[in-house]
Amino acid sequence: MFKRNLALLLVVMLVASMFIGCGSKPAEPTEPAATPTDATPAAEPAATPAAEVEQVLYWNISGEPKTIDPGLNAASDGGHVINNMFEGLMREINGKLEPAIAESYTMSEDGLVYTFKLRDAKWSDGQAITAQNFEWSWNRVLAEETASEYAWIFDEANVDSFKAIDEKTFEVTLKAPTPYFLGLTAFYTFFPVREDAVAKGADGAWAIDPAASIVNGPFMLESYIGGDRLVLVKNPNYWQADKVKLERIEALMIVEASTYLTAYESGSIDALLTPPTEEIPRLIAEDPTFYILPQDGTYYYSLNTEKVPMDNINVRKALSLAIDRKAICETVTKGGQVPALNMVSPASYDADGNLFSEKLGGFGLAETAQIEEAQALLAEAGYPNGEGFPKVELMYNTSEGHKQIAEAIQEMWKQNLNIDITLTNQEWAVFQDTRREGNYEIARAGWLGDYSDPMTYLGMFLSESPMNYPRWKSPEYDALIESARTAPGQERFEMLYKAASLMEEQYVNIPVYTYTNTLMVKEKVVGWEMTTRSTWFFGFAEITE
Amino acid sequence: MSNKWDKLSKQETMKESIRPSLTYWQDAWRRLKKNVLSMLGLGVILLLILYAGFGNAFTDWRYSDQKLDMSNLPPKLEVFDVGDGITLYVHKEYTLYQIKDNGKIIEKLELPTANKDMLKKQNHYTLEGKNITVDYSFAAKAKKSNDPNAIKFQLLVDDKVYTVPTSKIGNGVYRFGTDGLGRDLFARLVYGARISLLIAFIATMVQFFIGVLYGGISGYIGGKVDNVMMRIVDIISTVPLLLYVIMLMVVIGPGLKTICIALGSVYWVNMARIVRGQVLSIKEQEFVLAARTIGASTWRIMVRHLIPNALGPIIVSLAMMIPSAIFTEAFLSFIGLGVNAPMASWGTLANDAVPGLRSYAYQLMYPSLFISLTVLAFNFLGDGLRDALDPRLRK
Repeated sequence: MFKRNLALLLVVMLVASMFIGCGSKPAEPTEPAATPTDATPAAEPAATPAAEVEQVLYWNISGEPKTIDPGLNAASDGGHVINNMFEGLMREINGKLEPAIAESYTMSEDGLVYTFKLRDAKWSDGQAITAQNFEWSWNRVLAEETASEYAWIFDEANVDSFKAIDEKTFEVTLKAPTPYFLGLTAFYTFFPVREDAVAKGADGAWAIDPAASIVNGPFMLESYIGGDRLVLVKNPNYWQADKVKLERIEALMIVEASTYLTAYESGSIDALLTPPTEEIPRLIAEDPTFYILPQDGTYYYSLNTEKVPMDNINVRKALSLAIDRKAICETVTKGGQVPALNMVSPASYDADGNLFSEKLGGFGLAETAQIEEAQALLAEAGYPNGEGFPKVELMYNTSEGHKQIAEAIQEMWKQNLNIDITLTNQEWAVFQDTRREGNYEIARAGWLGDYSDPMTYLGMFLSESPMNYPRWKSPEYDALIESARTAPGQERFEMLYKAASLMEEQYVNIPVYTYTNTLMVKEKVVGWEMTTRSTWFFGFAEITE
Repeated sequence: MSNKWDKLSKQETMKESIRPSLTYWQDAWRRLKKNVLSMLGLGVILLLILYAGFGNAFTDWRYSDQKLDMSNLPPKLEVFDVGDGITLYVHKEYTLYQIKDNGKIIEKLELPTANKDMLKKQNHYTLEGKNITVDYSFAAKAKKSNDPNAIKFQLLVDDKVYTVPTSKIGNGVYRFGTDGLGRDLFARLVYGARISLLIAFIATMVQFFIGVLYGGISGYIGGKVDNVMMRIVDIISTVPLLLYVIMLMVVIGPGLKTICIALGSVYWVNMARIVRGQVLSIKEQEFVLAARTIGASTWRIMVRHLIPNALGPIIVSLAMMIPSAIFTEAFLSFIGLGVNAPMASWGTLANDAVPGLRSYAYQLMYPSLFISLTVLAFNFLGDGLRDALDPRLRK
C-alpha cells in the first residue's frame, strides 16, 4: 500500500515538475519586453534614404558591465555605456568642458557657489529635465541605502550642499574652491536619473530594462541581453539630436581578447578597447587603425604594512628598487606604457604649471633596477642575500595581463634579491574584498584618476580611506591632505607635495607604470571621441564609406 | 600404444601438453601485444613519461628562467645571411637578433630609442660597421591586401636589400621556442608534463579504486544497501566541482594537492554508477551462480568474476577520464584554483598561448600537441586493454 502511494506521489511530482518547467518559460526576464521594440528598427531604414550608409556601430565593451546605473556604477566598462546614454551638467568635447544639460553656469567670486542654468532639454520619454532631477539624483547617490560605491567622490569634490532653486536653476555650494569640480559634473556619478524610472528597480535593474530605462543622452536602450549584447538607438528627444548621426549602436560583450580582435579584423566589430598584448607590436606595424592614447592612471603593487616583512621600510624600498620597470613596459605590457616612479600619474599640473609627478620625483627609484642598493637594503633589514626571507604571497586578480606582469616581477625579485614569492590569483570581486580587508602581503592595484588633480591619487591613502590598501596610517599625512582641500592655489600644492613626499618616502606602494589606452576603431567611423577620463563618446560619430 | 587405458610414460605426457597454461594476465598481455595500435599507444605513453622524467636534461633552462629580451622566439628561425659571416633574424616585432654558430647563440641587438623611427616605420642598427635597417613600412599594405605571402618588411644592409629569408635554421638555444616572457617552452613543457600526467594518473587511480569497488559492492549486494549507497552517490554528484575546490582551497590552500583531492573526491561517482549497472546484469548470469555454488567468497566473486567482465566500460571510461582531468586542471589553474604561476601544466600553457595565437601559433601548438598525443595514446591503449581483458574473448 505504502509503495503504491509512494509511486503515485512520485508520478504526481513528476507531472507537476513538468508544468513548473513549462511555466517558467514565459516568465523569463526582459525577452518579451524586447520584442515590441524590435519592430521599430524595421521601420527606420525606410525613413532614411537607401543610398546612405547604414549608421550602425558595432562596438565591443569586453564583458557585461556590473551596472549601467550612473549612480551605482564604479567601473570603467559601465562608464563607457553610461557616457553614451546619459548626460551631466557639463560634457567633455574635444578635451574641453562644454555646457551640456546646463546651458550656462556662474561661479561666485570666492569660487564656492556654482549656479547652473539648465537648458530646455528633455528626457527620452519627452518630460523636461529639471533641477529637481539633479537634486534627487545626487541625494540618491549620497543616501546610505543606495550603497553607491562612488558616493565618496562628493567629499573629494568638496561638495557642501546643493539645491534646486527653481525648475531650471541648480545651485551647488562647495566647502572650498575646487578647480576640478566642474570637470566632475561630466562624470557619471553626477549624472541625473529619473525618480520614477529608478523606482522600477532601485538596485540598478531599471537601467538594463528597456521598458523602464529613461535617459537624457544621445542614445537610449533598445534591448539588453546579458552576456551577449546591449543595443542602443538614437534618442530623438536628446537636446542636440540633430547632431547625432548614428542610428544604432550594437554593444557586444565579448570577453576573450583574441576573439574580439578576430571579430574586428574580419569586420564584424568597428571599435574595441585593449587588444591582446602579444599582438600589439604587430598592430603598431600593420594596422593604422590601432591607437595608443595616454591615460591618467597608475598601475602599482600595494604592500601591506601590517604584515611581516612588509612592515619594514627597507624591505619595501628594496622590493621597489629591484624592479626593472623599463623592461616591463617594453617587453611585457608593450602598449607604450611609461615607467612610473611615484603614484601620481603625469597628467596633472601644479599652480605653476609644472608636471606634478615630475616635480615630485622618484625618491631614489629609477626606470631600471638598482640591484646593489636593493640588496644592501635587504641585508640591512636582516635578510642578507634573501636568507630567511619569510614566505610572501603576491596576489592579483585573474587576468592574463596581470599574470604576465606578476611573473616578470617575481622573477626579477628572484634574480636580483634571491627571494621567493608565490603568486596567487583571485576572481575580481573576491580580490577586491581581500585587498580591502588587508588579507594579503603584496597585491596588484591600479587607479585611474577621476579628475585632473593629484588629489585623486593622494586621497586614497588617508588613514580611513577604503582604498588605503597598504594600511599605512599617518596623522600628519591626513592633516596635510585635509588642509589642502580648503587651501588656495600655490599653498595647496605645497601641502600636496609635502604629503605626497611623506607617503612616497615610506615606499608603501610599488608604482610600476602609467597606463595607456590601446584601442582600435575602423577608418569608416569618424567623429568618435575618447575623453581625458578615457571614456568613449559616440554622440557625434558617423559611419562613412 | 595399443592399450589406450595404459598409463603414459613421463615423456609422453610432455609431448601431449604443447600449450603452456597461461594465467589471466599473461593471456591479456599476449593478446594486447597483437594489437598494433595499443602497443603504439603504450609506447607513446612510456615516451611521455620518460619525457616528463628526464626531459629537462636536454635543455639548459629551468621552467621559470626568464630572459625578457628573448621573448616570443620561434623554434624555427627564418634568417638572413648578409655576408661577412653575419646572420640576422628579424623578430615578429621587427627587432633584430644576431644568430651565431648555426642557431646556437642568439643575441638581441641594442636598439636605442633614438634609432627607432616610428613615423617612417624603420629600426636602425649598426653592427660591425654595417648600417642595418629594418623597414617594416610595407606591413600595413601587406595586411590590407589580405595576401598571406605579401612582403611585410625588408632588411637594408648598407645598400643591399633583402626581402626573402636566405635560410631557415632550427633554434639551437630554445628548441621549442620561447613564450612571452622569454622562458624556454621545452623546459616548461617538461614541467607541464609532470603536473598534467600526475593529475591524470591520480584522478584515474582514485576513480578506478573507489569507483569500481563502490559500484561493485552496491550492485552485487543490492537491495537496501544498494539504495543507500546510490543515494549517497546522487548527493555527491549534485554538488558542483567548483564548490568543492573553492572550499578545499580555503581549508588546504591552492596547489597540486588540492586539485588532486578535489578531482579524486568527485570523479569516481560516474564510475560507480557504470560499474553498478554492469554488475547488476552480470551477477544474474550462470557463472556467478556456479561460483557461488562452489563456495566462492563475495570478495572473490567480485574481483575474479564480476569486475573482469565489466572491464570494457570501465576501461573506456578511464580512457575518457584522463583528458577530462587534464582539461579540468587547466581550467582550475586559469581561474586561480590550480597550480600557481610560474608553475605550468599543459593546460595553462595552452591557455597562455591563446591571446597571441595569430602571431605566435607555435606556443599553442606544442602544448596542444602533447595533450592530443596523450589523449590519443590513452584511448588506443584503453581500446586494446578492453579487448585484452575481456574474459569472454579469451581463447
